[in-house]
Amino acid sequence: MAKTMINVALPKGRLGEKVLAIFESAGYTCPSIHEQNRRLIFENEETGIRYFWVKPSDVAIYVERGAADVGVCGKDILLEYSPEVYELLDMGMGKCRMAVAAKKDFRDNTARSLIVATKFPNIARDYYLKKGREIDIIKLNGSIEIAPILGLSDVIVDIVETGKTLLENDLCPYEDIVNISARFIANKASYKFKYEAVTELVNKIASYVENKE
Amino acid sequence: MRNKVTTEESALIALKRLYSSYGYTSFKMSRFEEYDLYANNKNFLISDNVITFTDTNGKLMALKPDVTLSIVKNTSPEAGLQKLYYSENVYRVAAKTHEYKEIMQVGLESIGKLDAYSCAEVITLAAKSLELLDEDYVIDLSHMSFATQLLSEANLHHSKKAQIMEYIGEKNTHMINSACKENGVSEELTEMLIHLAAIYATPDKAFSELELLNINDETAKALMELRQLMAALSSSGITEHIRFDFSVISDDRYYNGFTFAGYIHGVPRKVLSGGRYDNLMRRFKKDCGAIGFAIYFDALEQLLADKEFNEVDTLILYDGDSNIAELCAKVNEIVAGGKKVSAMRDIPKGLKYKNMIDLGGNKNG
Repeated sequence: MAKTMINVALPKGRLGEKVLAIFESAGYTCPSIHEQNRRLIFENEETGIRYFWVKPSDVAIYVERGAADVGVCGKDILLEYSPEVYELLDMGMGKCRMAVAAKKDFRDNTARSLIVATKFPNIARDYYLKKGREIDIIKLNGSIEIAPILGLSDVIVDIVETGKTLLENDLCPYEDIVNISARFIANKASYKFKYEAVTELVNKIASYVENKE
Repeated sequence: MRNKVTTEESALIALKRLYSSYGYTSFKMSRFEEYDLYANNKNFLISDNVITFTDTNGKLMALKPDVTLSIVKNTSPEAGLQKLYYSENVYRVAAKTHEYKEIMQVGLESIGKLDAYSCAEVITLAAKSLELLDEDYVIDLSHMSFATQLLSEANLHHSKKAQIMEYIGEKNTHMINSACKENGVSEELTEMLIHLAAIYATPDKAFSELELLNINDETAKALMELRQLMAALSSSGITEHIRFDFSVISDDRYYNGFTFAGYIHGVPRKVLSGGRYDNLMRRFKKDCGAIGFAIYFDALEQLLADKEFNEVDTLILYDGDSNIAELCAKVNEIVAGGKKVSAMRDIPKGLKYKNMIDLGGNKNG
């Protein structure tokens, strides 16, 4: 019988490269992915793995819709889109935090609604709803740090890794919302119909991640 | 593996025939309900965006987003055990696109004084429904008591409890761990919750694991109910499709007892969802039990429609010079033989056919 193929959605970029290295160290090697070309899908029938690179924010969608059986993406994406998937493992990498940041001299004027610029409107809305604070959300797609400087917003809700970008733009973290790291997710139907292969993969990755810690 | 039914219509007919052969009667209802029904039970609905309008008397009405509530409203406990099935369109907002969708839903409910048999019957019918659609299916079976009892032992605030329930639903063991630590849940209980979320096994293997999670009378009762159910199902031929999975949980304000979900190979999401909802009945001041399930046809649409769209047995090609009488005779002959035929002037792009007959007059065929 041919080996069950597992489709893995990897996030393009630095995090994805690290994730791939872990998968390969755990035995899921794929020589073709290291060749220099423009292909997007790579497979190795021997190890039963098929990798493809997608935009990090799209990983959850590929997995939820079953185009990928499993994938790795940041907790920020999972909180923002709440996809119907199993979150099986904290990979303990790509660690950062979701935070509110503002100009250094910021003081919250509670007499009016707070203007929040963010790439993550759902996380921001949820956070302020729990606090009972009235807000006005401006959804931006990048360069969020510029918004408070130009007076577009009072604060921003964004990912903070080292805080260096904030500092260089005269901003500082104001409140932490939640800790973020890369998570291993699986499609619910794939988990059932490819149970052995998926759990074997999770267990191997889990023991690799644990040993590293 | 070949599907037994290939279109939405034939699936509907086959399911209705199945349910009525087990003595379930059809329940037909109006497309509208008074909005109050949903406003009072918002958390029971999958999406809380309901399409509303004002009727000619000034009453606020809604296009049905759900069928179960209407059935519950219309049944009385005095009538004895009622076995009902329905096929209805419901109207919901898609979570991602925020667009209204009309979704075909088929389901059944057993309402009244329930016993071990009536629960076994509903779960059998859930499995048989999936089998009609495809032989490669799985029913994930769960019992709410384990999660609710373990969590009530942990003595948490409602919002924290709901949060951990959500993590159990995601099989998110690392978040259960950190949430328990944050809230001072004992290590032993944390281990149990993690264990519960991770279980995915055939019934015989899962029972021994469940023994470890048997903490009080309620969980003992749940364990007994599960054993009784599996014994009842042993002759039905469906047990090999059942997996115990305690991540199948629903809102405990409505559900208690068995909960289950169905998956079909080739469909990336849940196609069937069901459970026992005595707690919902209690909210309606009706003192009886209820169990039922619904099949989501929007999830099945692709599976069914693609088969229909892409496959014929015979493709007949003809052109302006073909003999039309000969063409008609050929088409009728193939149809009479119980095969699917498509007569076309050109080969449709991507169509799969087993054989082709070329009746083109001028061509060399």
